[in-house]
Amino acid sequence: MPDIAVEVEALSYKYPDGNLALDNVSLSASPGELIALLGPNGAGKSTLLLHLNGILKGEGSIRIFGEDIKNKKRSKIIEKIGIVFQDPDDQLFMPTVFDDVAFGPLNMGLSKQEVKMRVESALKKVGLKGYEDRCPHNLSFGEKKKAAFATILSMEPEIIILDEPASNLDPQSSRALFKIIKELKDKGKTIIIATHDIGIVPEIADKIYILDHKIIAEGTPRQIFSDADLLKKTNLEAPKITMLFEILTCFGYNCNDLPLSIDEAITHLTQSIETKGGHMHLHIHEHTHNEIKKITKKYGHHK
Amino acid sequence: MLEFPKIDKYAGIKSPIHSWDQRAKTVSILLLITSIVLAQDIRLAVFGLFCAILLVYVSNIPLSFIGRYMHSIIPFILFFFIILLFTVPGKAIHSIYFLNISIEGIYLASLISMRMFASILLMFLLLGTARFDHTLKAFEKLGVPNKFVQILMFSYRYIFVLIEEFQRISRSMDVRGFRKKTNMYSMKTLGKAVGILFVKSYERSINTYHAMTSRGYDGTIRTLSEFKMNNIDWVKSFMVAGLAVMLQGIGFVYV
Repeated sequence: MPDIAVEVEALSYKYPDGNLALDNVSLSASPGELIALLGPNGAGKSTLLLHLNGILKGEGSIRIFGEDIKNKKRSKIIEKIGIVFQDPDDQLFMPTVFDDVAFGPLNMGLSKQEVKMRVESALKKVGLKGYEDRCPHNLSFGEKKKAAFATILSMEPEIIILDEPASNLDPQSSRALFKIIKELKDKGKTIIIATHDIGIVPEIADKIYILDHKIIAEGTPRQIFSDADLLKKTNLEAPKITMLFEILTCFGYNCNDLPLSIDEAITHLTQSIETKGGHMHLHIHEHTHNEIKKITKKYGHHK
Repeated sequence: MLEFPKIDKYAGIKSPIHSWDQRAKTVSILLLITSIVLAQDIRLAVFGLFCAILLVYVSNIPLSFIGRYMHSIIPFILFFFIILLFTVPGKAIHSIYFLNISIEGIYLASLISMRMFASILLMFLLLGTARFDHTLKAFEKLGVPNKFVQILMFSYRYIFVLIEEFQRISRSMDVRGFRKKTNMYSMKTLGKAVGILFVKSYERSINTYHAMTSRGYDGTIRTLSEFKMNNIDWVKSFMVAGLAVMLQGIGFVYV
């Protein structure tokens, strides 16, 4: 298998009204990698994602597993890459959930038996078993999101692209969805997610790209979230847990690598307390308040 | 999410009409409708209407449900009835001002109303005794052009989405103090709201098209459907189709 699953090189795109949507965008994802695409609203994230399977065509090149998609047939592209759109009502256009989830596999020319198997397995994966005959209109928003995800899972693409998969979802549903995404990543799928959910990104992403019509920054979650200036400049925030631990350092907690997720925080706390003989010592000095002020100011919390 | 009345609400109940293969049902019922519509004699139309009522009765669909739909259709039938009553030339038996009611008018108005009523009942039977998606698949299997099936499919899928979208627009106008009145301002505002709905639908259609092409849409919608005709289906089809032929036969021989 080639080393790079998705490679975008110098991609530029103008909206029909002449506004520049993407300006010389380059990014790459290795097989099995999970890429998070962050950026403010209207930064061109969805537009970029629509280029990845050839729906929109800009200047520049896009290669999927080393092959330029310009030279590939749509039917071949969709076998490799699947997009889950932000609004599930756009994605679910058939009269029943079954028909919708079967739509992709049928277009791929799979046998009846295979299509049925794939629909069953995709619906089971997202927890919608038994919903086959339901009309998408009668599903709750969370169920629609899951069903929309299933329509892509049934096609079993190597690369899965998700446009704000957790937007408007309640916390439980959002967790459940990211659990499935994590499982897919563990199975070696390459995943690209456009999201505003800062809390979850460090837990799942290998690499982050910040997009605001052009790529502003790229790096690991640690590199990105420890750059306060960058976060401020791009209207982003560090995860709350990271802020909390940085504030804890003002109280004397020793922490060089700030945890970015709950899991990392638990590991850090456990290790710190264990090395200190089962206790943790925090204190307040005169300068503590000033340091806290500095940190809150750094993250934009002026109080 | 809002619940809207759906014509296939009672598609899940059991009856000889429900268990009838939808393809065969479609052909037979359409044949019967055609036959009733072509009936020239009022006695045949009455018989056709009687058959339609009988079939609806056999289908076990609650009468109250049918009544609710008929409620909005009856004014149309009545409208035609009244128009025909006064416009068909013939021997006047009663006059209201300058309008004359003739025997021919009563006859034709009754005949047409009866035909309409029977046809609507039978269409209701066809669409109400199977899930709508199933009916669409039957249409496709019967050779109805794929494009036409797609139009029906999308209408069925998105009509409720559009209604909800308009309700959202309407609600957001209400909360900002807009009250519908019969004045120019109301008309203009509603016109703009409908305009926004068009823009939104256009945007949605583009997004949906993107989602479709992302999953391999090439102009044809493919679905998995399983239909199987058994002996009872054939019997039911022959009975209803036979009825249609008989109506025409009687009309041809005796009328």
